[in-house]
Amino acid sequence: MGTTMAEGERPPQDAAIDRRSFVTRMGVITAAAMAGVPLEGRALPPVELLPASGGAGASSSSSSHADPGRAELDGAFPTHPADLKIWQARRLFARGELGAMELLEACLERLDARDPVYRAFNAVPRGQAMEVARALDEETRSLGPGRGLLAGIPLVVKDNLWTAGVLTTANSRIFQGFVPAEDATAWARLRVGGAILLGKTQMGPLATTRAMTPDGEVTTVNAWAPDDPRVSPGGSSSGTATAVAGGVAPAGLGTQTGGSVTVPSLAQGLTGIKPTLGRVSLRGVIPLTYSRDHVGPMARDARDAALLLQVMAGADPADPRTAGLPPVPDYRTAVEPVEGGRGPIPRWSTRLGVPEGWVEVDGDRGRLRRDFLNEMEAAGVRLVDVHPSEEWRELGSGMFNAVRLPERTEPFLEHLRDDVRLFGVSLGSWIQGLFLSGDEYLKGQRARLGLLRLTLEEIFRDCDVVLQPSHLPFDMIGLPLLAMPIGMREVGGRERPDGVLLGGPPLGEERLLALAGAWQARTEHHLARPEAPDAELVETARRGGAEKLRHDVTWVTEHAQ
Amino acid sequence: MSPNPGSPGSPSRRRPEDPTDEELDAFIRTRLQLAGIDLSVLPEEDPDAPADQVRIRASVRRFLRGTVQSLSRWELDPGLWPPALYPSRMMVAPPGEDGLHGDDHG
Repeated sequence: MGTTMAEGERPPQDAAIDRRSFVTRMGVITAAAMAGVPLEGRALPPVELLPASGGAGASSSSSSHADPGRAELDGAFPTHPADLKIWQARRLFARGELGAMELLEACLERLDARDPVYRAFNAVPRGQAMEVARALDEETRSLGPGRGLLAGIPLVVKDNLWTAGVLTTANSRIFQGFVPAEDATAWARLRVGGAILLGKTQMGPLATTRAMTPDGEVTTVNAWAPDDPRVSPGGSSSGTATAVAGGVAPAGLGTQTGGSVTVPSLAQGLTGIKPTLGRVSLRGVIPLTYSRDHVGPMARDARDAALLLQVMAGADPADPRTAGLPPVPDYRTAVEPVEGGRGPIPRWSTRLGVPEGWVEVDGDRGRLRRDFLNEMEAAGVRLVDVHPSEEWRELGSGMFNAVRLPERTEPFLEHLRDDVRLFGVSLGSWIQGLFLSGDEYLKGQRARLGLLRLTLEEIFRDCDVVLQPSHLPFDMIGLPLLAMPIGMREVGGRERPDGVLLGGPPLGEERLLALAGAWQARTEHHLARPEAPDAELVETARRGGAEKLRHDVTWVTEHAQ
Repeated sequence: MSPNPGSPGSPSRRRPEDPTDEELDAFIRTRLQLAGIDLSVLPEEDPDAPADQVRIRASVRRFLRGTVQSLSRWELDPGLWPPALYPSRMMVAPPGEDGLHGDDHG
């Protein structure tokens, strides 16, 4: 697949797998979803490694990581602990210059100061978090630092992931008062890695749209425009995005069925990853669409996103979709660029697909996109024109996106029969799911596999990573996406982050991280952060006087993810 | 890949007239009744409410006329999806003449 690499370097995992086996696997997952068959790992065809892959499917034990780019030398660490990235906090922990409680308290202080405006949180288990931080600090005092990749890192978790002993509502009346006894697997792995639950974040009811109450009152604002609720914070993981961008938490988790990790990441200047379907377990995630739901990290840079993915990813007996994939590779190494003579470059030679029309846009956006491509070329990335066929465009369109709806409706039928008011403003798309006939659903599922096949044959024939104008096609077919900022542009009289969406082949997370890591080592756009909400705005919000915005069932149905 | 009104053996197929709002509303009510779902707990029409019956029906009508109709009329390209063995649309002979499709014994 055209990959060259430094001597001794293994190829990235996507170059080592038989992509046809991924198509077969997706077909089985789809069929199982249709038939309601409880998939067992042994029934799922494995993604096969190509004979000459040199072991690229296996984990790397490398733990040697280069220093970050020039903008992030030790002296440039933020002064307020809540502004630190995870890797920065870990360095300070290792040097004994920061403790878990100190970091947690800094985040809680920020939360208290800013969340009246942001409205990014649903639940804050303060006592539990402080207990964990205290225990970690005591352990560090007696045993020294260094246990667990995330030891002492406060994280935020979208409110549709189960968190043991902590309210999990998905912002819906259906789950009002629900306190799970167990953690979702993704969160459980982070917690075992030492992470502390700072809070559960606001979301669109049942993950359908931007964060709001079931009655349609917009809650979370965009941290870049805290005084204007009309500025969208992104999709349904917007609570996590605002908490991370707005200086309250170093990173967090979102879920994506229709753009909900990548859209808020783009809207708020973060790096977010929607991994390949099956890479991260969905056990303990309140479902939206069985065959399209993904859990992904949202972070302040690619390095932190890689770290979270590293800890979360892997097979889970409780989620058969995770079975049969090659072992989790070393994302933490993949994200670190190598020295290329004229600055940091991705560790694998990469062909970046640029779809027709992607760069030919006016204004700031066009300028940012041209700058991005120029910098990528300077980093040794080969730009390749990509011309998706009419068939590809059609299969990736909204008509086929609708095929997700019956999968949304079916598990909730009991609640629809009980009382449709439980769904609040999200009711529309659950009702629509009753109006696709069986033949249309089957046809849509075949079209979806056709889209996957065409994506592999047409798009990834000529490139390794492709720029995407929309998240939609890759959401439909379970391929990985990475969103990251590339600069600021003026929108409605204020500066807002703009970004790119990179799509990868099956298990192409390493490729995506390698590009993002090189870009962020060469530029400083990912360091831009919004200003704190001003004191008057905070005071107004505390009094309940902030501007209110409501959306109704029609708006939510038209924007449903 | 575009919607194709023709199909093997029926070059002059007539497309029925598009349904009216009233016909679609009747369909929507009936479908929900069959599924055991009661929309009447919502107000019939109240612009101040998060949802009402009028807006739900309007949204379903748009969905039916747009997405569902397009999807229903769209045909798989046999070049991309080789025909499965079972679909009856692949028959070239009327039922019974090939000895395979005459009796519907399930």
